[in-house]
Amino acid sequence: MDWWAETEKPGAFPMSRNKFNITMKIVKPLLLITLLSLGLSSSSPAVEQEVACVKYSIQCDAGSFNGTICGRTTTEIVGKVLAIADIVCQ
Amino acid sequence: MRYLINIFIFLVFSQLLFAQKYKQIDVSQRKFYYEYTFYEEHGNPNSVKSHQMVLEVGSQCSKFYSTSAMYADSLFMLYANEPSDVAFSKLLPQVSGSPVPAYCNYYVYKNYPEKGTTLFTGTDMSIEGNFLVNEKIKFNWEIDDNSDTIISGLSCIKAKTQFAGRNYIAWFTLAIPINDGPYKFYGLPGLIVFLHDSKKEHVFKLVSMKNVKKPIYFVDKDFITTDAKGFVKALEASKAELIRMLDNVTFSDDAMKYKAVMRVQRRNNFIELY
Repeated sequence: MDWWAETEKPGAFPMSRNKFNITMKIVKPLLLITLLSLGLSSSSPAVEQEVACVKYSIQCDAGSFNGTICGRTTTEIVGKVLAIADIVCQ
Repeated sequence: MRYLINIFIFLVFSQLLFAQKYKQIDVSQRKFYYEYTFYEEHGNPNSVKSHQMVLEVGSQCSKFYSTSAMYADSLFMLYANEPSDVAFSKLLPQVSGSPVPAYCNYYVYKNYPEKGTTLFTGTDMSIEGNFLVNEKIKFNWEIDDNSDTIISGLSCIKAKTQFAGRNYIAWFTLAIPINDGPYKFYGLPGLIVFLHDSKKEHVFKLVSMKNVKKPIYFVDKDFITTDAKGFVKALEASKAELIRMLDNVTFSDDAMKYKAVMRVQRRNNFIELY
């Protein structure tokens, strides 16, 4: 088997955009995350970036849940939402 | 498990910033994709998970991390200059389809910032702490020239080593003369194609490769410097914070919370044991 040639074909990468889109179509019904609202909840004089809190609601096969996630950065909030969804919805 | 989504943001914000900065440290020559299969709980096959990881090899250094993180990082860079509400609404639907598992939330840079150094950066389970570990790791490989096999169409030779409390078996190929492999492993005369610990609780298998010239970025955050043992302790300690986060969640069914808390508490099979 020409393994090298095989893996060099366009689309061989399993996380290619096409495959990702297909995956999204398949799993789309499983979970619904709704970010309901956002407000700045607090800030610390020792920290330059303010803390923001996002209210969210999630539905997945296991059921539904909602809450508020706080963080100083977009990446932190996104990461926390995904960490909770990962542990609850598996 | 992959999932997701529709997202609706009713109120937006403009205060938040992106947490990380991206510094180009090399240009990849090749990318190698590994399927990483692992038990979240020691000795429990029912806790098995798998995730795809990528090894980007440049002329000076390499980087090993989650393909989901690779995809998310590219989006973070793409939307970095957009208003945060716009960035947030575009980001979350795309990245939440394939979240990075807690055991894969790290980057391993080899030969960076200097030759012979392995730089590990990892995030704890509660996404509260980002840690940096700078190591000089020396693997004592025992190569068995008499043991060979074909894996993914590549002729491979067996080697053994010990690392961080586990015994490992690696299969490397001379057909790809790159002194590298998954996670922190390196030091064989060819690329590591297949690697697992003796109990097969952590398994890395090469599944595909690409010749692609793209920048390799160091993902810079507000790191806490520690050692490998310190990071494992931080991971273990962050379980309490993750459970505390679950306390602030309202569930449709009490059993959901119970199961989630149990899953967190059972995460005791980190790849490095101390």
